[in-house]
Amino acid sequence: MKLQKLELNAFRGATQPLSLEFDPAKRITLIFGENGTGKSSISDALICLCTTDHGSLDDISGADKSYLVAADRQPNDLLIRLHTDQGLFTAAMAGKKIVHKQSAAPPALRHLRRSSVVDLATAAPAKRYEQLAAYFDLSGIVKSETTLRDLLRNTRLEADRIARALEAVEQILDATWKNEGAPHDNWEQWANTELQKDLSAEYNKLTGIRAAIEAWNRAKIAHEKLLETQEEGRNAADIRKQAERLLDEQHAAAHAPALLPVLEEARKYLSAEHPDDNTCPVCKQPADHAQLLMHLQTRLTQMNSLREASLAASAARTEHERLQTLWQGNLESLNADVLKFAAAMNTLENAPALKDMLSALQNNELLPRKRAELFAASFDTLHNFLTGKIVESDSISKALDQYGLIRENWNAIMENRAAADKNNALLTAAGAALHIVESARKTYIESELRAVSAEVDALYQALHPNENIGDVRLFLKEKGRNSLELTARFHHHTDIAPQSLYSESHLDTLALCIFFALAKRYGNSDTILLMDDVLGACDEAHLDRFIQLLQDQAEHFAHIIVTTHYRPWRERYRQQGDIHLIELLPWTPEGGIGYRRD
Amino acid sequence: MDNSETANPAARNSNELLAEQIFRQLLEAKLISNDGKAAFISGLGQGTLKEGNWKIALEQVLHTQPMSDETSET
Repeated sequence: MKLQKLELNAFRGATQPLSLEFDPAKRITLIFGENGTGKSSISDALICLCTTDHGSLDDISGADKSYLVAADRQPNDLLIRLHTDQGLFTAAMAGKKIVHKQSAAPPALRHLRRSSVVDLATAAPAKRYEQLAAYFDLSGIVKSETTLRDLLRNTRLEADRIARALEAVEQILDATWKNEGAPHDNWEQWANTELQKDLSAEYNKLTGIRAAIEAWNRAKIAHEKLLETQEEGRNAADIRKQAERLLDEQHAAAHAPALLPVLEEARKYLSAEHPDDNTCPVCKQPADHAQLLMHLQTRLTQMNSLREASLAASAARTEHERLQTLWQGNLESLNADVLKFAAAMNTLENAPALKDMLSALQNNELLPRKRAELFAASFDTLHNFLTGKIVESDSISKALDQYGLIRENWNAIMENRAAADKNNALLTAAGAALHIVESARKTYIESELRAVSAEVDALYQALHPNENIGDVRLFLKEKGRNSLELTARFHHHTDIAPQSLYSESHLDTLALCIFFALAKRYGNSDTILLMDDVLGACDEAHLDRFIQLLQDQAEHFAHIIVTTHYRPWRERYRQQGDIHLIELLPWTPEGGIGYRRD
Repeated sequence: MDNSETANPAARNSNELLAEQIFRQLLEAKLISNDGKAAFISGLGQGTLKEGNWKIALEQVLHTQPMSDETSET
C-alpha cells in the first residue's frame, strides 16, 4: 500500500482544511514541528481512521470524544480522508463516535506514542501484557479454556455428589448387614448372597395367608351379623307372641269383635259427603245422620283397646317376619363367605385336623343353617390358627421388605458406581484436555515471546553496539496470569529489570525496539507504522544509528510516519534525499495546521 | 510446538492458529474425534465453546471407547 494524501477537516487542531501530501516514492515521512504545531492532531487522525483508538485523547481519563472536533466547528464538519493506491478511506463523526464510511477494512496501522513507550519499557507486568495482547489476541482461546475449566470444576463437584450418594446407600446396607449379625465376610458379599435367593415361594405363601385372613375377616363379620339378627329375631318373636296374646284377650272381652272393622268402615262412609244424608244406607229409612255418627263414635271408643291390640299384633308380626327374612339373607351370606374362606384356606399348609374341619365346611350337602352352626363350632380353632398365620405373615413380610430394601439399595449402588465411572472418565478427559489447552497457550505465548525477544535484542544491539547492554528477554511470569516480565543485562548484571539500571534514553530506545519487533512480527507489507514524538534528546551517534535502523526496517512496512520536535533529526533528514520531510508551520486558530511547501 | 519459524503469523488470527494446534493435540491424545472439526476449531478460537460443548465433544469419544474391563473379559 502506498500513501498518497491525508485530508483533515475540523479535526482537533485542523480548524481549516488540511491536505498533507505524501511522497509515494519514499517509505519514511518525518513530520517535524515545534510543540503545538499539530503533530499529534495528524497522528490522532490516522489512529482514528485506522483503529478503534482515539490517539492522545485516550491518555486523558474520561475525555469527551467530542473534543476530537476542532474548536468552533460542528461534529458534522469533521472529516478524515486517506488517499492510497488501494483506495480512499474516510472517517467522520456520528454523535460522539468516529465512523468509517467504507465497507473495506481500514489500513493496518501500528502506532507508538510517548505514553506507550513508558508502558512497554517500565510499566508493571500486567500493564505491559495489555500492550502485548493488542498484537497477539488469544482472548477466544482463553474464553474456551475458561469454559473447559468450568467443566472440570463441575465434574469434580458431580464426583463428590456421587461419592456422597454412594456412601449413604452403602451405609444403609452395612447397617442392615450388622443388624443381621454380620454374616459372610462383608456386607457386599452378604447382600449379593441375599439377592441370589428365590423368594417367590415366600411371596406366594404370604399372598395365600393374606387372602385367607381377608376371607376369614369377611366370614367373621357375616357370622357376627347373623348372630345379631338371630338375637333381634328372638326378641321380635317374643314381642309378637305377647302382642298376639293381648289381642286374644281383647277379642275374648269384646261382644262382637268382628264388628270392629264394620263399624270403622261405616264411620268412614258416613263421614264422607252423601246426597241422601238423612236416610239409612242399609234400610233406606229416614235416619238422623249426625246422631248415627255420634252412636258409631261411642261404640268405637268402647272397642278402642281391641283396635290397639290388633294394630300392635300386626306390627309385631311384620317386624318378626322382616327379621326372619334378614336372618335368612345373612345366613346365605355367611355360607358364601365360609365357602370362600375354606377355599382360601385350602391353599395353605394346614394340619390334618384342620383339613377335616375345612372339608366338612365345604360339604355340598350341608344345609346352610348346619354350615353356620359348624362354623360357629369351629370358630375358636380357626381363630387360633389364623392368629398364628398373622404372626407368620408378619415375619414373611419383614423378610420380603428387607429383600426389597437390599435390592433397592444394591441397585442404587450399582447405578452410582456406573455414574461414578462415567463421571471419572469425563473428569480424566477434561483434565487432560485442559492440560493440553493450557500448555498449548503458554507454549504459544512463550514461543512468540522468544521470537519477539530475539528480534528486540537484535534491534537493540544495532542501536547500542558494544555498550554491554541487551540480552532482552520477554517472558510470562511462572505463576502469574497475564503478567509479562521484561529483563535485560546491564554489564555484568544479568536478568535485571531494565528500569532499575538503564538510563531514560536507553529505556526509550528499548521500548522502540520492542515496538518495532512486535509491529514487524505481527504486521505485514501493508502495515503503516506511526511513531508520535517517541524519541527524546539523544547524542548524535545514537540518532544516526536510530535513523539507520528506521531505514533498515522500512522495507517491512507500507510506510513509516514519524513525528518529532527534535531539531537534530530534522537537520539530518534535510540532507537525506530518500526521506520525505514535512515541516509544520506555527499553528493559529484562523489558519489551523500548515506546513512548508518547498 | 514452536511457531517462531512461522513467517508473519499475523497473516492469520492468533486464536485461529492456536485453535488448530490445540485441536490437533486433542485429536492425537484421542480426547476428541474428528467429527465437527471445523465448528469445534471455530468455537475454540472465537471463545464460543461452552461447557456443554466441551462435555459433548469429550463424551463422544468416551462413549465410543470400549470399557477396558469389558475388552479384557472378551
